[in-house]
Amino acid sequence: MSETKKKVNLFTNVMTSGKSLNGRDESQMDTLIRYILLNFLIFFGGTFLFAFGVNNLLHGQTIMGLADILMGTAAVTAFVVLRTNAPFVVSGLLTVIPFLFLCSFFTQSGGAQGSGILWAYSFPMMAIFLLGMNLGLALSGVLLAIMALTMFLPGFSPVVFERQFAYRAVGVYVLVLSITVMYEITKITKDKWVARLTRSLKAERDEIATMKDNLKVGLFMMDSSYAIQPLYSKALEEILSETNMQRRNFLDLLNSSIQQRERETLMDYFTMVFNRSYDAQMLEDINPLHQFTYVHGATDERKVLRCTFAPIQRDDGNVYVLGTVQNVTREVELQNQLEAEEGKRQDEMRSLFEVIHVEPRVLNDFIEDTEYEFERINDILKDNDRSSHDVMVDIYQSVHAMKSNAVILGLKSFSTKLHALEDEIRVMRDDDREVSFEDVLHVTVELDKLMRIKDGFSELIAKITSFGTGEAKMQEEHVLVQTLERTIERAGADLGKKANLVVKGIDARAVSSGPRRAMKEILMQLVRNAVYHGIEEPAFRLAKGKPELGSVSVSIELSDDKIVMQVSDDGRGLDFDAIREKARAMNLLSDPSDFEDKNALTQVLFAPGFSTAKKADMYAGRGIGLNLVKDRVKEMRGTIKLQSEDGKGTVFKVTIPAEAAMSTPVTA
Amino acid sequence: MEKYIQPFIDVCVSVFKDFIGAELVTGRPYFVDKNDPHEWDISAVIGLTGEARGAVVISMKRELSLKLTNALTGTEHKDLDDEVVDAIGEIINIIAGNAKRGLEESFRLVISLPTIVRGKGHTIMWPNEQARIICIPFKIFETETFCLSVAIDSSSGV
Amino acid sequence: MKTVLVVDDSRIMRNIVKNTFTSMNIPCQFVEAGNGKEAFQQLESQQIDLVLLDWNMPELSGLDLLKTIRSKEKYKALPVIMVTSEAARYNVIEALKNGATDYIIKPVNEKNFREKISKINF
Repeated sequence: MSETKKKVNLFTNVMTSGKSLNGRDESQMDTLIRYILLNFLIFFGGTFLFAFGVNNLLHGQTIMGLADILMGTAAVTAFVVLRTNAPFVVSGLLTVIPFLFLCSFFTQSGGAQGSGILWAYSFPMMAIFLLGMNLGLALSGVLLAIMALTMFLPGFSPVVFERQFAYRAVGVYVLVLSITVMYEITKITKDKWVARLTRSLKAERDEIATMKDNLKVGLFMMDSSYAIQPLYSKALEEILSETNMQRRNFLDLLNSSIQQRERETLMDYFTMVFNRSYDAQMLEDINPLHQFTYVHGATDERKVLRCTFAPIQRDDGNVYVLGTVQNVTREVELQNQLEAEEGKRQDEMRSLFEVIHVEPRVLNDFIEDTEYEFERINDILKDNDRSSHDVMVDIYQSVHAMKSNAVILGLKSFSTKLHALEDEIRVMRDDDREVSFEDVLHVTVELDKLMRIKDGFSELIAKITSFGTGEAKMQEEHVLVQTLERTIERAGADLGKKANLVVKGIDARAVSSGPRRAMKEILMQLVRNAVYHGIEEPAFRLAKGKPELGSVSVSIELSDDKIVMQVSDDGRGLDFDAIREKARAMNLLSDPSDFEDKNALTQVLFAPGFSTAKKADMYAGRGIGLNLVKDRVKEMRGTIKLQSEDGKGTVFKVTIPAEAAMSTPVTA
Repeated sequence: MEKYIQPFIDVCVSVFKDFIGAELVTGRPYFVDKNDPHEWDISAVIGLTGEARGAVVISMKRELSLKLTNALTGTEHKDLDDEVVDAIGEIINIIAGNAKRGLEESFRLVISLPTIVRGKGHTIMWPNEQARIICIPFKIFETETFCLSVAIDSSSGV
Repeated sequence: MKTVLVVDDSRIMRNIVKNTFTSMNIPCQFVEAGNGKEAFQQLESQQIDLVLLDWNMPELSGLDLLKTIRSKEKYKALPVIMVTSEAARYNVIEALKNGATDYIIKPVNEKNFREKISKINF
C-alpha cells in the first residue's frame, strides 16, 4: 500500500472513529457525520483549549488555565469513548456539558473586555448539531439564562455591562440560536423528505427487481460494443447457463454456437438494429437469431433459443439494444414430434393442407410443370441407347427442377421427399460404378409415389375449379393453351430458338367434349415438332427477312361431326433432301421412284424411328414423335394431312370424328 | 413397393431359365399410363391383396407367345389358339406359385390365381384407381420383349 | 411498360411474378436469366426496372451478382429483390448490407410479393 494511501486511510479512520458504516442507511449517515463533526471539534477545540490553558497558567490565571485544561481532557476522553461501542450521545454529553460549564464560566466571569461571553456564541451550534434539537435547545436555553443573568442581574457577575452591550449580547445570542434551530428544523424536514423518497424508490426498485427476477424470459440490454448491461433478468442466466454476465460481450457468449462468418454478419445485423435502418417487422424477418441452436462453450449443452432485438434510447441519450431470449427447445421438439407422427399417418393430408395456401392458377402451373418433368424422365428411362448411369445424370436435372418449384411454393412435405430423392440420385450420379437395376427400380418406385401426391393436388384443383361449372369448361381450354405455350417455350429453350404460340381459334365445345387427352398429346407433339424442325434459328430467320420470333399457330374447330385441329408454323417447310437421305439410309422406301415423289417422302415422316435430326437428342431426335401422332389419329379413325412450302412453313391438319369422344380410349 | 416387385422379377428370371432354358435381360423400368393403348396380344393378370392391393401383369405379343409355346411343348402354332393360351397359363402359374411362397411368407399378401386375357388391344382391369403403371421390360430370345407391369397400393405407405 | 428481370432457374417464379403484377394493374414484361452471365447480358441490352435475384445459382452466386450490379454507377438505384430460403437469414443480412432493396423468403406467394412491390416506387 502506498504511503499516501496509508495516510488517507489513517485520517479517515481517526475522523470516523473507526466506524465504517454502510452508506445505504440515511440515519446511519447522519450519525457518521456527527462522529466526524465531533472528532473535528475535539481536535480543533481541544488544541485551542490546551493552548489557552497553558497560556493562562503561564500568565498566572490558574483557575482559567485549569478550567481550559480540564475541558481539554474531557475532549480527549470523549475521543476515546467515541471509538468504543458506547452510544454517541455519551461522548456528545461528555463534550457538550463541560463545554456548557466552560461557556457559562467565561460568560459569568467576563474576561478581558468582557470577551468571555464570545465563547457562548459557539455553544448553540455545537449543542444542537451534536446532541440534536431537544437536548441542544435545552442546554442552549440554560446558557441563555446564565447570559441574561450575567448581563442584567447586578451582582451576578463581577463585570458590569452597559445596557446597550447587554441587549446586543443577548440579542445576537438569540439570533444565533434561532438560526441554528431553523437550520436544524429544515435539515430534519429535508431528511424526512429524502427518507420518504428513498423509501419509495426502494419500493419501486424492489418491485422491478422482483419482476425481473421472476421473468421466465431472459431480458437484457446491450450497448454498442455488445456489452451486456448489469441489470438483466435472472432467467437469462438459467437459459444461457452462465453467471455474472454483466459487462460481458454477448457475441462472445455465442462463440460455440455460430461460425466466424455468421458472427460478422450478426454484427452487421446489430448495426442495422442500432441504426434503425429498417422497420421493426423487417428487422424481425431477417433476425438470424430468430431461432438457433445454442451451444454452451464449456459444457457443450445444446438448446434451441429464440431471440428478439429492439433498439431503445435511454435518458443518457445513448441507444441500446433490448434483447429477449427464450428457450424453445421443448416447443421445437414437440413440433418435430407432431410433424413426424403426422407424417407417418397423414402424409397426404398434410401435403394437401400445404397446397391450400397456393393460388389455384399457380398450383396448376406447378402441376403441369411437374407432369412435364415426369414425362421427360419417363422418356429418358425408355431410351435404351443410354446407360443407366447417364440416365441418372439426366433425371437429376428434372428432379432438381421439380424440387426447386416445390420449395418456391412452400410445399414442404413434397419438396422434402423430392429433396431426398434428389440426394439419392446425386449419389448414383457421382459414383463411378454402374447403376444397378435395383437402384433404378427404387428411383422409379419413389417417382411413382411422388406422382401420386401430385395426383392428389390435381384432384384438389379439379374440385375447386369445378365449383362453377361454366368456369370449369373455360378452364380446360385455357389450360390447353397454357400447356402448348409452355411446350413451345421449352422446345425453344432446348434448341435456342424463339417462337410464339398464336391461337387462331379454339372451339370450347370441341375441347370439352372431345378426347381431351389424346388431342392434347397430338397438339403438343405437332407444336414441338414445329419448333424443332420447322422454325429456324433466330439469326437464320433475320437473314431471310423473317421476324426473329417464329410463330406456331393452332386452331381447333368443330364442324358437324368432325373436330379439325391445325398446327402451322412459319418456318422453313419440309427439308425434302434430308428426308430423302434418311429414307435411303433407313431403307424406308421400297419403290425407287418414290425418292422423287414428294407425297411418298411425306409419308416416310410418319414411319417409326424416322428422324432427320442429326443428334439423337431428347425429344425429336428419337423420331417417335410423328409416328405416335399417326397411331393416335388412326386409333380414333381420323386422318392427318400435311402441306409444306419451302421457306414459308408447314401445316399439319388432323381430323377426327366428333363421336370419337363417346368411345372410351382404352379399347381401340 | 419395391419389396413386392423384386421377388416377382427374380422369380421370372429363374423360372424362364429353369423351365424354358431362356436367359432374360432385365430392362430399365419406366412408366406407362393405364389409359394408353398398348400393343400386347396376351396378358396374364396376377392379383394381390392383403397389406397391399394391386396387380402384376405379364404381357407379350403374339410372336413371343408362339415361341414360348414351342419351347415348352415343342409344337408349332400359327395363331394364338387355346393351346397357346394354356401353355402361357402354365408358365404364369409357375411364376405365380413361386412368387406366392416368398411373398406370402415375408409379407401379409395373398396372391390370386392368374387370369389370362387375349386379343389385340385387350383391356386389362387394374384393381386400383391410380393411373400410372410401372413397366419392367424383359428381353428374351434376343429379339423378343415382354413386359412385367406393376401397380400396387400399399396401405402401410411404403 | 416495366421490364422485370427474373434471375432464377425455376419457372414457377415467373408466373407468380406475372400474376402479381397483373393483379396490381402494372403492365410489365419479363426477361429471364438462368445465371449471372445471362443476367448481365440482359441488363446491358435493355432498360430493366426491377431485378429478382435468387440466391443459389450456378457459376456466379446471387451475392456476387448483387455486388457487381451495385458497383456500377448506373445500376446503383436499380431495385433488386433477393429471393432466399428460410434457413438463409444470414444471406439476407449480407444482401441488405450490400445494397439489396428488399428480400423475399420462400415460400413465395402473390400476397407477400405484392407487399414488397408496393414498397418500391414504380
